[in-house]
Amino acid sequence: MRFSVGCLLFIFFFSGYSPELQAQKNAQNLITVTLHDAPIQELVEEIESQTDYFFYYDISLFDSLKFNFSVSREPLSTVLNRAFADTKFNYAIGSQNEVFLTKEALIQTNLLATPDTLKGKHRTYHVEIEDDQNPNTKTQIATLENKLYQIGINTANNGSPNALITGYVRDAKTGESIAGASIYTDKPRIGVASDQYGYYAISLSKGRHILNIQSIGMKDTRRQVLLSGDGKMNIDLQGQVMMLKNVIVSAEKMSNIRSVDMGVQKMDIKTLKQVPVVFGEADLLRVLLTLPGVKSVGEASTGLNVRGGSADQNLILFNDATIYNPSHFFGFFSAFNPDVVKTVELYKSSIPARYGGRLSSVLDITSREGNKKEFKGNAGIGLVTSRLEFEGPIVKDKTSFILAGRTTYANWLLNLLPPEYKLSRASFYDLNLNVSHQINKNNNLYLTAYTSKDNFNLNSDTTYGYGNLNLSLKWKHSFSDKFYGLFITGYDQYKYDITSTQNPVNAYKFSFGVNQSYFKAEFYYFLSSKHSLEFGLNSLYYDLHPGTYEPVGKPSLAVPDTVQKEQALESAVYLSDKFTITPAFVVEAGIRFSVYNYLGPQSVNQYPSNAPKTTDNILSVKTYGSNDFIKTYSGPEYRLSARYAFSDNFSIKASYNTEQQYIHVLSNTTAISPTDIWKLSDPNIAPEWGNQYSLGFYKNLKNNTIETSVEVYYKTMQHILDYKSGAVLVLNHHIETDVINTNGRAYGVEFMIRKATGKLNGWISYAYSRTELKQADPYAGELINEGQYYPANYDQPNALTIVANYRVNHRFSFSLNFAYNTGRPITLPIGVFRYDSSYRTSYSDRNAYRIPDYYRTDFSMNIDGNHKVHQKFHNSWTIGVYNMFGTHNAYSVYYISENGVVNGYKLSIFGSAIPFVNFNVSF
Amino acid sequence: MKAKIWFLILILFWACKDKYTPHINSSGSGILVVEGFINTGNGPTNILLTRTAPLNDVSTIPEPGAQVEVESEHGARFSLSETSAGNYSIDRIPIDSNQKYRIHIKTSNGLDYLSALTEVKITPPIDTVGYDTASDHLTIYVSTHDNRNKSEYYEWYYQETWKYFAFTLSNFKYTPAGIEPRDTKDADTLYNCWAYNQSTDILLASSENLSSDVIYKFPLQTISYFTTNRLRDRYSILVKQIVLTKDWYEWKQQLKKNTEQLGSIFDAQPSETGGNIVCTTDSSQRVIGFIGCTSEIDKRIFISRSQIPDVAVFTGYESCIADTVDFGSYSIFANGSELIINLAVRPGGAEVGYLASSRECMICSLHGGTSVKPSFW
Repeated sequence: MRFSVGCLLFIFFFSGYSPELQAQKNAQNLITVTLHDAPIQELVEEIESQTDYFFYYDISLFDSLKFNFSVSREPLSTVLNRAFADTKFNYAIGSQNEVFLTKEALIQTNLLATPDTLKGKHRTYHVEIEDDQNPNTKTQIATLENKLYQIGINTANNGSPNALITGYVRDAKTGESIAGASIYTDKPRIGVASDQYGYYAISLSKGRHILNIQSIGMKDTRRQVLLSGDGKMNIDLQGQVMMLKNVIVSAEKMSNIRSVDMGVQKMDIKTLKQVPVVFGEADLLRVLLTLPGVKSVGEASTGLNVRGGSADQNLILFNDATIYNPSHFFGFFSAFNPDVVKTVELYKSSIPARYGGRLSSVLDITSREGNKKEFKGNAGIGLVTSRLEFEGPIVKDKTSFILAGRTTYANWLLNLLPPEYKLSRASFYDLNLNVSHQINKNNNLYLTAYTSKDNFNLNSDTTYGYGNLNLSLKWKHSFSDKFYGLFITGYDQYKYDITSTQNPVNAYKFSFGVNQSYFKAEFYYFLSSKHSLEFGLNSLYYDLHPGTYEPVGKPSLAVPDTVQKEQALESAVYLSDKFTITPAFVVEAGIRFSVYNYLGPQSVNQYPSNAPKTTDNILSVKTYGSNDFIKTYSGPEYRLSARYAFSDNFSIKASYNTEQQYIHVLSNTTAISPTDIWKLSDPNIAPEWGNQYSLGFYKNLKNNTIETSVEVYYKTMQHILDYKSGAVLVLNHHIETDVINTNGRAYGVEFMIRKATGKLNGWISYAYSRTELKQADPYAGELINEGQYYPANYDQPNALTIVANYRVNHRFSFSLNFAYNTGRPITLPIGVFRYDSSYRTSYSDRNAYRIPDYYRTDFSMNIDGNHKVHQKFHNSWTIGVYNMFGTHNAYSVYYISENGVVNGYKLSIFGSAIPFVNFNVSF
Repeated sequence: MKAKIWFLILILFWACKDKYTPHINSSGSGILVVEGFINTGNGPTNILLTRTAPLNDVSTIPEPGAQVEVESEHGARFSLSETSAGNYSIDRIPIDSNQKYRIHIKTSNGLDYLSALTEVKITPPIDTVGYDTASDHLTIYVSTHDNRNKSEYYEWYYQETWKYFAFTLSNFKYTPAGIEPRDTKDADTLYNCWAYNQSTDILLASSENLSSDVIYKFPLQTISYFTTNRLRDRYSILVKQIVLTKDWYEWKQQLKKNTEQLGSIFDAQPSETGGNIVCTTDSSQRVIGFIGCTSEIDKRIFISRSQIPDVAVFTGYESCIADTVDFGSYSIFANGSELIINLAVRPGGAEVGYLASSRECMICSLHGGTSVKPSFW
């Protein structure tokens, strides 16, 4: 049984206490008292005045308890038995007349710290509490590096050579849990990382150990423990007051060597914030693009192509909520407020079994919890956006909130446009609210609410609006030290609409929406020092509205049209075991079995199995009723990974993964767009399937300050959707006639060198990778590139990124960013002809050419105000230049017929150096 | 529905567009291109045969010496004759609107091409060609409808004609004998011109999503007052309307997307342009073109200077000035690089020389038009 923060830390205030004096008061220590609706204070005062006992208790636990009894000349134990009869409260009497009152727990007074550790008026007392259900566990808050903490009771009947230490890692100042902290011993080499809730469990041999604890932005520390049996120890870490001192991922020191996961990139917000990006505001998706194996088709798009996957193959989770469109302004900004983001993890190779539903990657974004101790805030002003964040306790140390919002004021930019665009408007905002509440030591609740909205209109003609809405509620319940569960339920929504009212006769509104409700149960069971299990189930109900077209206004003749809504249920069970065969050799084997049911009501076109799917070939239309199971797809997904550590600083890992994806984006544009339509798999459109083999070598140099890695991968994908020439994707009642099944293969090698600490820090990544597609549909009717493999739109073989940060002093640092990649493939014309009074271009093989290579250098400076800890306002400036050499990097190369002639152009999105400045203030 | 212009704003700000000509292997030249339609109305049927050219050597390569026939599904044949290289024509064909028609081409290299049989479309009349004025431009639109609800897919072409003037009238002319007054007809020829232009963009609209077959105010052309001289005096537009079948329309739309609607941030992949014509002797031969059966309806309107807001319309002569030339220097007019406007007169009435301006300013036909008045003017 574990205890959470509030139960453990007893802070007692007492003045004038002197045991010598009080010992004289009542030699027999007999008590006479009459209480009527009396609070605990009255009882304690009476007893303390009549005897030389002194009480230790947490008054907040007793606030609802009232005493009604009368005793005369009874000893203390009789009085307390009487007082606490039929309640959950317990007491314990120490050898020096201390009385400890607790709720639900018995206290072992013989393990108490001796009074000589209590100094000064305000004293912190570390109490070791014995749980009545599990007498072998105790928890302590270990705050001192040089103290030897005893954990567990040395009992003869417990024969196991190992014992388990569990507990939470928290920020001593804010009480916030710290995720991703490394807890490890040097000899033998055993290490774990705290999870999202700051919880950790480490199994060590009994005896004396030194635990090293490292976390991002926190001082590295260590704890000395004497391990006699299973027990608990919470660790409070001190923040780095000088934030710049250690900004990059020091928590990940050695974790690359130790963890079994491969291809996982973890970043914290401080790392994100120091990478210069356009407009200066920390942008999570853009920073991910500096990592090996992550690409996008161009600067205007935040659609990520991870290891050769398309942009719809990434599962983007924000505190368990699926974000369908993670960008604002059509892809120029990511939709995540940097003030709320805590950590970002990108799984591009070994994907844990608890995740599923997308082929290429999982991007897990965790938001911060609010400060549990005091109210704090943050504000930032940039060129295009400004943001405000506020957080604090609702109930101190128990419940906290964080509320943050961002908005843009880009309209001033639009007003500078030529007069014909004067009426154009663009705006967006996003709002986050997170509430975390600790019900008791075993139960925590987390509420996440997120919404984003974009609006854009060009000259009051066509208006575009799109937005996300996400709500999730998570209950974390600890069954025991070794076993906890998460129960998550939530609702995600993405919708957009396009309205055009300029021509009254054609005025219309088109809208699309996808809603999903989900339930997940995840269990984490630390079975033994060798086995750590994860299992669970999740279920997701899709409710997808593929498109509704309706007239706007009376004169409109637009005929309402609605593509029948789709619904489906995607469920999965999973089991995964992390098996530590030896400390050096660890295998994690997981299996996920997913079942997908396409549900009625629906009308499904039936096609002959051996002919192209065309409208002429529709045999019949089969109609299904509500909740009929129309089509079920199911299959196992394997998640295997293994690590062998040859030494403290060298390991080899291998993994194999398979994935299924039941929802697809319909888009024939190069860049993923906010008005793309999502489509569920149905009897005519099969789920996507993919697998990946990867192998990696990890070597740390210079006392783990420099990490190097090489990863190679090979993956194949099946049933990726491509489109026939002239495919109609909007309001298409038979989309299967316009799509083509495509298979893909991707392979590559990724190199990374990362220096996490020191004045100069940053990383260099290089990847050679290829992604090729091949039409695999014998009945498609047309052949793309004669049915041969052709490069995908995002195939950029060479990519090099350098991110460097140099800290001049504690208040000033600068960053330099360099990016190079091969130009993406493009289809260029092969001939020209005259038609309809204009020369026009003719095209043939897809993606046979490439746009010019891409080079970009960015620079930024971070200037912090002073670091006085007790100052009310801390401010900082970020000043920089994006694309400092003003390179005209090609976004696309195209030929267009203008006034009868064909002209070739190179379009650059950011064709000049873009200076930016951001001002931040925290309070 | 996905507008290509979404990004205009951002592009205007940060983006830049550079002329760019990558080296491309023009393996796609020599493909037969078939343009035109089988005219189901009273006009002639014109079929134009060309070949695709390399991208670095843009030119129209006509395909002469072919045999072109219109065939009905019941076997009636109408032969077209070559009027000029690659242009094949036949006067009115008696069309049976209950039949389907196609064309058959036999090129001089002996290959046979056949278009798909298509149904006969009858184009309804144009209701209005009109215009809306704004402070700095006017927009010409077309409206039409079909009570039979059979048209749905429309395409338009237009021919513009507009009258404009030279910088000013030339009242005198140089002769070896001296300066003489210019006769009015001669002066008018230098001063009055007509310019022509035809649509180069594919103009398509459909009523398929509407409850009745109505096209309301489809914009055809936008004319700025300040960047073109179209509205200098009087402007005329002849709008031609044809009705397409659904697949013809979709093919045209794809052609438009491939050749006119690129350069946005969300570009679709350009795709191979085909059509409804196949080579029956060698199926690996690519052909570009879509031949359908339709009739053409036209409508002409005129817009006078007085019908637009009273603004200083672009003349094209903004940089022209009148110089004063001494009487004694008149021989400079001998080579014709300067034309005389009038006598230069001092305040008070003393004649001091000639007012003159450059040839480019004084002869309107040097500004893209001709001095021949069109027959419909």
